[in-house]
Amino acid sequence: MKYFMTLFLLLIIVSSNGQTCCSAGAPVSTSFMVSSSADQSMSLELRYEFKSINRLVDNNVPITNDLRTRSGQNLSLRWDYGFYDDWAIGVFLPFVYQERSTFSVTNSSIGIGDMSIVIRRSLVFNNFSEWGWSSAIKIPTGKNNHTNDTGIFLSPDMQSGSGSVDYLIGTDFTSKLSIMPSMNIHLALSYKWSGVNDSFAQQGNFNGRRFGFGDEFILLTSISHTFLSNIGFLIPDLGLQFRYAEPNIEHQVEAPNSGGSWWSLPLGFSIVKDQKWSFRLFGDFPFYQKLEGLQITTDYSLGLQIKYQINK
Amino acid sequence: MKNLLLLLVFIVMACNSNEQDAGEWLIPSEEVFDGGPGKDGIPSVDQPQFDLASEVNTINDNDLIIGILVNGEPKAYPHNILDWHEIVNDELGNEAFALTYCPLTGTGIAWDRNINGSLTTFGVSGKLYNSNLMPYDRSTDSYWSQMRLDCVTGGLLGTNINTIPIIETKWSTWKESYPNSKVLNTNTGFSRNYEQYPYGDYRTNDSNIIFPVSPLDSRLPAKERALVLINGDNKKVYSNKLFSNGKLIQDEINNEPFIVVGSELKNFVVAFKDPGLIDPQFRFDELPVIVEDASGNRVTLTGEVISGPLAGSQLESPVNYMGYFFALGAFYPNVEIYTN
Repeated sequence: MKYFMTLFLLLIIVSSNGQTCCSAGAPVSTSFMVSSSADQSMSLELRYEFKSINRLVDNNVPITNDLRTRSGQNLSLRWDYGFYDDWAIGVFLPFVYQERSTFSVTNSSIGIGDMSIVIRRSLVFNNFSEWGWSSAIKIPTGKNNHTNDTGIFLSPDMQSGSGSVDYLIGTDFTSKLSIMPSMNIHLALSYKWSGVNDSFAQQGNFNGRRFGFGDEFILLTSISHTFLSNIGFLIPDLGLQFRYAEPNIEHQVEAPNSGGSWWSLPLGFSIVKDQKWSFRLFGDFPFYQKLEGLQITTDYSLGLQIKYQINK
Repeated sequence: MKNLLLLLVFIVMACNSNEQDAGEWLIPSEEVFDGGPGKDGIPSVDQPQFDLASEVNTINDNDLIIGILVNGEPKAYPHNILDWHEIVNDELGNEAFALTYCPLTGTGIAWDRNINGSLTTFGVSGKLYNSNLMPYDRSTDSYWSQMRLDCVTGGLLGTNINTIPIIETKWSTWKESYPNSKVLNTNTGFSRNYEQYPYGDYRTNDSNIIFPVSPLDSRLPAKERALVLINGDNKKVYSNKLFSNGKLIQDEINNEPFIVVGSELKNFVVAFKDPGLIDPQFRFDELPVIVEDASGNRVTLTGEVISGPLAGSQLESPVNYMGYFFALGAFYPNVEIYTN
């Protein structure tokens, strides 16, 4: 049963890795949406993700000759604990590296991002399906005063942390297909209320400026298939994700050239070696976006996830 | 668990690795902001290409342009291209200049690229001070303030920039005045949607000021376009609303006489040192002539005297430029505003 639960929960978690454009240290909504919920179970997860943010898009038209290159890397540690069969808590702490280059300069920042704490409750949990809701709070533990070499604050989207408190609610549903029990379908919805940092770049006599990332809605659906092999379970999955983000708040107004809609194909390949260890390679490939104005946005992301299950 | 804690401590300590010493600044560096795209993320146009005005049909009559006339050769730079590039490194006659334009403050100023005997080009640093463009020069990597007209950090710290007179007006006024003008075209080397203004309702929404400015002067609406005339330490602002159907103002700054001429209808405000014109009047029916005085001197939009006793001379243009009032008020606190 516990082996099954491990598999099942892995499916929920791995199917929920979203992407963001260049929201930097602001954790991606779905990455902290769910956690394991087996009674007295605990897991640790190490996750690495590389984002190539080199697609310059004007509304929905790709621009081919941009001078900028940009990338982001996240290394995150996640701890999940199920204190009942239907209640669980998770803590997510990212470590963020970002780089922005043109022909004349490269700026980078590295530091701890914002920590998220997630509570999840399973409303339905049986051998066939799982339905639950999650609620999360993102705490501004991240560094948000990275500067360039002349001492000027880097822009908010180049900071590891946002300096604001965000709230998230979400729901997710996973079920085996009755006609093919080795196949699972997954559906997740989430909404994030983004807080505003009222004192970004505060220093000296300057009280700082207001900045907030836009609220965010994500709809994710995916399908996976479980194969048994001599190294464990092999689980490829393919999804379709829609993400909508409101424009950022800059000073007193909605910032131009921010916010929009993204469609992407998240896919992954997981190996559940045994009850303790599981591994996952994943990627996300945006294929259509309709953005507000001109924005540089993610063209792909790739990552690796290692999870260790500690069952009491 | 102990190892995990050690790892976290290491991570926290690594957080400050990007800090470096800042150089000297002439402005409060804490009020300088990274606009987002980064240095050269907004690409300057370094190999501008031009069409003839008579061949251009993609610019609307009411679209704003910045016009320049050197040695009788006119050129125009449409705002809709400058909005995306902010700097055009160009030359005209013997003048090598950078046409700098900040869409957030609405200020266009032509800068002499010859600095201390060396020719340079300017790029967009990606930094903003009081919401205003900060160009950097590619020879010394010094950062400048467009509206302050000086170098605010770097090797050329404190150096003042020389400006070349320009006129901001609408396309139909410029085209009528200088039908043989060349016009910057969209072959900039970059693919941009020049038909789309990149900042939403920014131009007209007075409450939409994206980056902090200090002080915030609210004596006039934030986005009211006005001309600031600079004569030494004295400045005066002339709102374009003063000039509704065309008007000429004779004024003095620092005991020096100027004429300020404008028309809201034709969409321009220009200023010249007054060479002693006798009862000068605004002319609106014979562009490029905009002034005629009692002795028959006829002065054009760019300050050339084309007939009369002063024919052949060029009226001297003081340092002046158009901009949104909130920006003028921030750079020149308590600046005098001309009123009727």
